Amino acid sequence: MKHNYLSDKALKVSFLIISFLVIFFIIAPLARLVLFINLKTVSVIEQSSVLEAIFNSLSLSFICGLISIIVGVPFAYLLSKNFFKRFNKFVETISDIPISIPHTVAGIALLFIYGKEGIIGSLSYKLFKFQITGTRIAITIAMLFVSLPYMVNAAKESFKSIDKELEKTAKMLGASEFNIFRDIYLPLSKSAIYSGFILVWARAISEFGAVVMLAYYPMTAPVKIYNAFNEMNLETSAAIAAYLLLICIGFFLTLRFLIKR
Amino acid sequence: MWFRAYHISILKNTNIAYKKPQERKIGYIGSNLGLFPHLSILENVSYGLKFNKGRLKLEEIIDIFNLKDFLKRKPHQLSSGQKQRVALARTLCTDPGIILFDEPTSDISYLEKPLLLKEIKAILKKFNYASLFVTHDITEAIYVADYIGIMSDGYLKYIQSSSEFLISPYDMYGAEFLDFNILKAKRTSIDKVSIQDQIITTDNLEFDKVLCLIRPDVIILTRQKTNLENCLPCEVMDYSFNGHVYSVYLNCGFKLKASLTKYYFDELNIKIGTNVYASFSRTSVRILPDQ
Repeated sequence: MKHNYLSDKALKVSFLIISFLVIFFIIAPLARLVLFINLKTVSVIEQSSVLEAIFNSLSLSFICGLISIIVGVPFAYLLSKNFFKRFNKFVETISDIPISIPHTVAGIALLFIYGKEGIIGSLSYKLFKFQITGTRIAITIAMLFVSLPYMVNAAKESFKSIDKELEKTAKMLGASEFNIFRDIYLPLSKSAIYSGFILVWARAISEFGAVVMLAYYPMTAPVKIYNAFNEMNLETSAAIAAYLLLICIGFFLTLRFLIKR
Repeated sequence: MWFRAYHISILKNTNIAYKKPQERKIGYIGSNLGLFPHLSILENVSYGLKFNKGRLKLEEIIDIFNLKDFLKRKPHQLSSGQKQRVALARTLCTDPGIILFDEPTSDISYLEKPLLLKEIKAILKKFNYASLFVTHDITEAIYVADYIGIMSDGYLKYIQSSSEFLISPYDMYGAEFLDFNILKAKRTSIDKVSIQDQIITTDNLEFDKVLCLIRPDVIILTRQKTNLENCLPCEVMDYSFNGHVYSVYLNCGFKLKASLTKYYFDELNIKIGTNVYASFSRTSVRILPDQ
């Protein structure tokens, strides 16, 4: 019989080769980067500016993750319920926009709202004599802008996947919408929201473009690396990058481990 | 010009049409039962008690449904029959005015079904709960229902107590559901009708044009003539077996369907083309006016 398929074995072997290439593609540069931590550069981590940058990255991205839960979950709930009726698709698209635009574009756009001349930026300056740009708040805003869609999508998909019969039954048992949200939707979406949090956190920690537009100082780790790349030598910046990489992987694996339990 | 539809649905002397679902006091058991997968059986059963006061105590309900041993388990650890009990227990906790079952037995095994349905019915009867049971399966309806209604195109087309429905449906629509033989006939004398060229003896007739309804399982097939009021010679056209009974399709000048146990089917040695006699008593023929 003539057929134009690969045999089962050939398919598995060829896909396996491709998979190895993919793994190599990801691991090779990262592994090479870690090797930049050597006797000469191991002390960069002791510089206070480097430590501060890494601390900024970790703490602000974590806060960004928490905020994304507080604002992203209710928004996702309404989207999953088709609350905006015929505009629902439209609103969903809006919530996805930050993913699809270059982050430098996002940064410049944010500057016109939160910068000194921007609506919110100028208002805050006039009322509280507080300039948003160049602060940790600005960094968090930039991080949140680019990472919030991940939380909204994770929670929305999970809410949508919950059997409508559960809600109907709960209603018939007398539960109000708040009860249904708290007793059914939230607990059943716990792990989705948690992995949304990890995605947001990971996306926020890696953000450079939007952050650097809104706040060069205080520096986050990616900005510090860029700064070292420009002003010092490649080796120093590579060593800082390697440290950031190891810390990120550490956090990521810990969180992954926690979610499994 | 604006029209406004006024819906009225009365439950326990109140119009619930404009009430929120939460306030209607309707118990609902859907096709997949809607047990909360992340809650224990105890939490599932008592969920409605947060919002309602029940007539029965939680302990009583747990007792009635025999759930004591599973209270700490999660729904996925239960058999489908047990899940069914949990769903019903949870609904009864809230003391509903009526319970709506929406095809609740779809994933229950064929053998478990009759027993479970019987149990559900006994519990509902014991505590005097009205319920509306929606199903596609007529045998299931016959198991559980006191009254059977047939819905079609969104309307209730037929309703009758199930004991009467089984013996004498009041129109053709109901008879078709029970697979009756439905024969168009003309009155020839006070207790006789003609179908095609055959004469059938029936009870006394009030109409000239009638429909004769004959259950397939009141027809006796024999090789010899019998002395029942109606004994028609006929030929076997076809037959089928559903695992329980044989359906035999006959031609006696008109088409007639009879059902037969395997024993009699083998005894008569029925084949396509076999000539047999189909007999039935005059009292087993139901008469409807033919409009």
